[in-house]
Amino acid sequence: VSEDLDEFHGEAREILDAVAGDLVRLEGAPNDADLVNRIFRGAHSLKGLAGMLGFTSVSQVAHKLESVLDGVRMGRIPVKAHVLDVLLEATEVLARMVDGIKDGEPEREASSAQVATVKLLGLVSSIPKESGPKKSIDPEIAKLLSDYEEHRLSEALGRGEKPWKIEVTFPFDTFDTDLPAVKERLKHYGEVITTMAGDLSEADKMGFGLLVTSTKDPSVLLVAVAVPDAKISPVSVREESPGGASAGGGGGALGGAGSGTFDGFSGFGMPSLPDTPASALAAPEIDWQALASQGDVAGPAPIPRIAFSASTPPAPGGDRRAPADPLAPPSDETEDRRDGSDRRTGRDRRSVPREAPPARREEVIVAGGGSAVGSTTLRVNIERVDALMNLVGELVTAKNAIGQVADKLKSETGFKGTTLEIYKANRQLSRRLDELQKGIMQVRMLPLEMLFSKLTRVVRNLSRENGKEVELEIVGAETEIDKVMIDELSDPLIHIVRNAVDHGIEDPSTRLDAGKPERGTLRIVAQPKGNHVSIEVSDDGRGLDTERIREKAIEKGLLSREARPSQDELFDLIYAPGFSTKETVSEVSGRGVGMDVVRNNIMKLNGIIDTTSEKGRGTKFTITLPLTLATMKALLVGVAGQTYAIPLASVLECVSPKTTEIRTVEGRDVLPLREVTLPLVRLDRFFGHDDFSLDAPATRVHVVVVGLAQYRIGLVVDSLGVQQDVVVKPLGAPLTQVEGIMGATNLGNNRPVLVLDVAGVVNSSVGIRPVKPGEVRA
Amino acid sequence: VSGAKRGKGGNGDNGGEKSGEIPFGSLAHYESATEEIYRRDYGDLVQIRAGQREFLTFRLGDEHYAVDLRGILEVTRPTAITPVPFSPPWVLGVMMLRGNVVPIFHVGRLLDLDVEGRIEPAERILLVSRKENPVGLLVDEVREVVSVPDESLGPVPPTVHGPRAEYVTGVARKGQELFVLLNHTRVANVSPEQAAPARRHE
Repeated sequence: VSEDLDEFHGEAREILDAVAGDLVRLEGAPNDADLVNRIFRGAHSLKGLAGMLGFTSVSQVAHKLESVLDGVRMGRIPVKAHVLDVLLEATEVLARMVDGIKDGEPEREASSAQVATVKLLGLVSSIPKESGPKKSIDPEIAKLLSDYEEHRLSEALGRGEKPWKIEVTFPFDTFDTDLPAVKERLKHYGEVITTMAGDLSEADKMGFGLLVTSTKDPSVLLVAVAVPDAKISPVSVREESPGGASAGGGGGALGGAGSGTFDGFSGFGMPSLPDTPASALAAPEIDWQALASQGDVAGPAPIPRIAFSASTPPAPGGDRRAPADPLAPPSDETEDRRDGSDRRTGRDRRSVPREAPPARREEVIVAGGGSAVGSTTLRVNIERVDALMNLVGELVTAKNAIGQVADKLKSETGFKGTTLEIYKANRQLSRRLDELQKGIMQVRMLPLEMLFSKLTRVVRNLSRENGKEVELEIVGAETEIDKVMIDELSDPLIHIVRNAVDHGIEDPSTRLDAGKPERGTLRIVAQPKGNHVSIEVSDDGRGLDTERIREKAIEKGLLSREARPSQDELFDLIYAPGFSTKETVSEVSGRGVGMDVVRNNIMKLNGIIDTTSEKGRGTKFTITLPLTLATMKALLVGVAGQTYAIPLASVLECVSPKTTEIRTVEGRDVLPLREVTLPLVRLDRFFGHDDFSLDAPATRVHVVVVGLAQYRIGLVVDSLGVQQDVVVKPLGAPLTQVEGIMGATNLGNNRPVLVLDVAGVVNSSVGIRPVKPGEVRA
Repeated sequence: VSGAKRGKGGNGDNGGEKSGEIPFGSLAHYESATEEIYRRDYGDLVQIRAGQREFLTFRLGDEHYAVDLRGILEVTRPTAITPVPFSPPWVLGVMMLRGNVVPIFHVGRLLDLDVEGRIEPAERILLVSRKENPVGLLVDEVREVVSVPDESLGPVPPTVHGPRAEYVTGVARKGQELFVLLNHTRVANVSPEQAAPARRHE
C-alpha cells in the first residue's frame, strides 16, 4: 500500500510541478491555447488519479481547478494576474495536500484546501453567462464537437474565418505520422478544430475528416494539405442560440481520440457490433447521423470502430478489442499508436477512468500529460537508480583494484609486454565505466527550471505584496543537477530570493531617490562548472549594511564590542543561528527559517556559499555545489600513517607553505594566504593521532584548503596523494556519528579508507553546532 | 540456523580436503575455520535436538568461551582493519566485507581481559547482527561447534564479575571442558556510552 502511496505521490507531484511551471509560462504567453490545454489536462489527470485512489479531498480541489481552467480555455475567464495567483495557490495547496497524504496526515492542509476551493469557486462564479445568438455550423458536425472545440470554432467564426471540411486518406501504416504532419501544415493557414473519421472503405487506408477554419481560399488549404486525393468542402454556418446543437445519444458515443476511449470501449463489455454496410461508409459525404445512430445501437463505440467492423467483420462473440486497436482514432497522442497495436490489447494503457459513460464527447486525457514529452518519459523509483549507481560504485572499486595490480606489475616487470596490455585494457575499462557512471547519473539529473519557476512565483507574490518592482532575470535554467539536491536546494534558494526582495531591493521611490532605476533587478544565474554547478543570486538593492550587522551581532552576543572583524567576517555573521537584521519578522519571510538554514542545507550538500555585497549597490550570493552526492571525487591525504579521503567538492586548493609562515593568533594556528588569514586545523591532532606524528619538525607542511558554506579552513596533512573516485559507505552502527568522518570507502585493496566529513571538521573547529544529516531544523 | 542451512555454497578455498569431517574439530584445522567451510560442512550437520543446544566455542586469551550458534551470521578472517577516531578502545576499527563497511569489536577489551600484546595467528571475526547491520567480534581462535544438553548449562559463576558479568549469561560444561557463555546480543548492541570504560591499554 505504501508503494501505491509513493507512486501516487510521485505521479501527483510530477503533474503538479508541470502545471505550476506551465502556469508561470502562461503569464508570459496568455494566448497560448496549447499551454492552457496542457494545464487543463494536468488538472484533469490529477483529479482522475486522486479519485481513483480515493483521495477525495485532492480530487475535489483538482476538480475546482479544472473547472476554472476550463473557463480559461473557453475564454470565459481571462488570463490575468489575479487569476494566475489563485491557480498557482491552488496548485501549491494541492502539492502540500499530496505531501500530507504521503506523510500519513491527509487532513493537514484541510483549511488551506478550503481557502483555495473558495477562491477557485469565486473565479468560476465570475464566468459571465453566455447570451445572445452565436454562429454555429451544420448541427450534424457540431454535435461531434466537445465544448472546447465548439468554443474554438465560434471564436474562429467570430474572427471571420470560414469552416471547411477536408477529407484525406492515408496508407494504413503511415497515418500516425501523416495526419499530424498535415495538421501541422494547416496550422499556418488556420485552425484545425477537430479530426473526424473519414473514408474507411479501403482496407489498407485510413480516411479522416478535418474540420478546419481559415480565411484562406480552399485551394490554398488543399495545397497546404499536400495529400493526393484530398477533398475540401464548405461547412454551412448559421446563427443559433447556444447549446442548441447539443448532441443526443449518438454524440455521447463518440469517446473521442486517444486512450480514454479504450476504457470506455472495453469497460462496457460490448458485444460484437452489428455489421455496417460498407457502402454507407464509402459515400463521399459521410452520413454522420446514420453513424451516430449505429453508435446508439452499439453502445459507446466511437465511429471509427463501427467503420472498422464494416471492413473486417468480427468473429461472432470474439474479442473485438484486439483488431480495434490499430484503428484507434487519431489524436495528438498518435505517436504511441503503433505501440498500442503491437500490444494488441488496450488494458495496459494508463488512462483516467471515467465514472460513467460520458454524456458528451470529451477530450481524452492521458494521465501524466498528453504532450509528446509525456509519452517518452519514464518514471523510475529513485531507489532503483541508486541501486544501479551503487553497483557502478562497486565496479569502480574493482577497476581501482585492477589499476593497483597493474601498478604493481609495472614496478616489478617494467612498462612492457603484458603489463602494458593490462594498462591499456584498464584504461579502456576506466573510460567505459566513466560513461556508464555518467549515463546513470544523467537519469538522476533534472534541470533547475522547475526550481526556478518556483522562485519566479515567490518573486511575483512577494514584490506585489511589498509594493516593489522587481525584474527577475533567469539564466541557465536548463542546467542539470541531481534530483535529490534540487529538493534540498529549494528552501535555501527561496530564502535567499525572499531576502533579496524583502530586504535587498528598495521600494520604487527610494530607488529613484538613490538614482537607480525604479525597477529592481534580481538575477539568478546557474552554470555548470566541471563537476560543479554554480548558482548566483544577485540583486541591485541596498546591499548588506556592515554597520547594522556589527551592532546586531554585538547585541546578540556574537561579537565582542572590541572586535574589529573584516568585512567578510561580518558577512559570515548573517549565517549565525537566530541572526536577523530586520527588526520585525516579516510576514513573507515566515516559516522561521534564517540564513543559518541556508548554511545548513548547503553544508549538507557539500556546497560552498560566497557572499559579496556593496552598500548601496547590491548583494550577490554564489552557491557552488557538486553535481551529485552519489559518488564523489576525493583527494587522498596521509595523516599520521593513516590515509584519509577528502571530498574534492570541498577542496579549493592545496598549498605547501614553510612552517615559518604559520602564525599563531589567539592560540590558534593561522596561515596568511593572499589577502585572507586562513585558520589551520592539524588533522593528526584533530583525530587524536598525536602519538604517531613525526617529531622532527618539517620545514614545509601540506595544507589542503577546504571551503564549506561560508567557511574557509586549512587542513594540515602529512602528505598529499592522488585524486580518486570513491563511493562513500556508512561506517555502520555504533559508529554512525563519528565527528569529522562521513564514512569509509574501499579503494580496491580491501582496506577501508575513512572519508572526511568536512562539515564536521569545520564545525567543531570553528566552534559552532554541527549539522547532522537529517537533523530537524528549528 | 537458516544461515548455516544454505548448504554447499562457498568456494572452499583451503578446506577442500576436509569434506566429510566434522568442522573445526581440532586445533590443527583452525585454518579451515572460515565462513565457507562453516557453511559447506556444517550446514548439513545442524540438527537441533530437543534438550540440546548448539554452541560455537572460541578462545579469548587463555579462556574458553561459547556463543549460541544461532546468533552467528558467519565466521570470517580479519582483513585490513582501519581504526576509527573518537571511538572506544574496544572498537578496533572498520573492515570491508563484500563491499560493505563492518565495525569490528575487540571482545577481549570489551570484557576487560588481559589480552594486549599477544600475537594471535588464528584470529577470527564472528559476524553477529546489531539491529539490521552486521558487526564483527574479534576472537583469538575459533574452536568447534559443540552440542550441549540443557542440564549441562549453569549460571554465571561468582568468580566472573566486573565488565565481564555484563556480557556473560552462564557456563556450559562439555566433558572436561568448561565454557563461559557469551551473550552475543548484548555484545553486539553495546553502546559506546554504556560500555564500562575498559582499562587503559598503553
